[in-house]
Amino acid sequence: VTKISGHLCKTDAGEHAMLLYDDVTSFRDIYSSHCKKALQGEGNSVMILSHYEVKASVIQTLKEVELDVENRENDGSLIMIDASEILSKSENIVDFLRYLMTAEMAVKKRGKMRLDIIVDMGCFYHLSRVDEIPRFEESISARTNKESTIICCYNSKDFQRMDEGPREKIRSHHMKSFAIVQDG
Amino acid sequence: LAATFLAINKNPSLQSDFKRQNVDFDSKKYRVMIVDDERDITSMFKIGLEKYEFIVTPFNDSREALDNFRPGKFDLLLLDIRMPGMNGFELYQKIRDMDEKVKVCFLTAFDEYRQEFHATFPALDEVNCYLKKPITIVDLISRLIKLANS
Repeated sequence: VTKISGHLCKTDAGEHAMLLYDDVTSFRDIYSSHCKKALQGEGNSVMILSHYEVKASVIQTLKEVELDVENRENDGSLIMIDASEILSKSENIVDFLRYLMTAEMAVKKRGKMRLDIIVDMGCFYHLSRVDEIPRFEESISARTNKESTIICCYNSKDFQRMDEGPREKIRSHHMKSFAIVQDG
Repeated sequence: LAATFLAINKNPSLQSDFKRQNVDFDSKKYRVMIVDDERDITSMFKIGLEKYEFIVTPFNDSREALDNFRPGKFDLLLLDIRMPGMNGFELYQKIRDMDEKVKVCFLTAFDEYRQEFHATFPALDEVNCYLKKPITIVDLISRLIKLANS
């Protein structure tokens, strides 16, 4: 977890990374650690689109690493939202991407330089929109405006439900891939 | 639920909580299967329900729960909705195909989007028991017993 978190922090603005996790506990360790490190940088902001946990749980996790969540939310450097809510309101992938880009613009307007977006891709499985994932990933890779870093997070149980073809395609759209492997 | 009666009778405040919610107890020990990907949740519910003589079988993986499900093995199912690998709706559908009688309650921490879910889960209205996490053991037991008697 520490290693991956370190690598994620070294990603350049505009990168598109993939994270494969086995359980929600290790995912919490990663995003909280990344969030803390990223927000230590001047002008940085983070948006977490969670799926398997509610906002209150994300807040609790971030507080456990001593992040001043209330202040961060108030100054706009931390945004937490339910990914399924956004996806269910998006008719298609373009709408979903548009939402992310709007967040990017809003953050910029507040004078922030960099936005790291952490998306739990579980929302696509939950809403039976798995077929849209490859296009979503391709669109992120192909975007011209590369000011935000996007980390697409997959629960390994969800990812394994796909055939090898789409899995490979998804992997190929990311510049970096990380997997949390349990000891033993 | 004789033992439940005893447990409740030992605790007057709990007894009045159940009375207030118009919950009638019978003498049956309910067999409950709980499926939630969060180990802390299943452990907490197991401890809470076993205190009142429920027989609880927890699972943290929906596929494992499905593999272990047999018609007539459980009286009540408590299914989390958002689970990786196979969500609660999919698990419900597969279990329903095997057992038409088992009573099911969904468990969720989220305000789910009923309209959107109708498209992917047309059987949504078949289930009218939805519990929002967090929930107290008193409320959980009340709802489960109401469901069992429905």
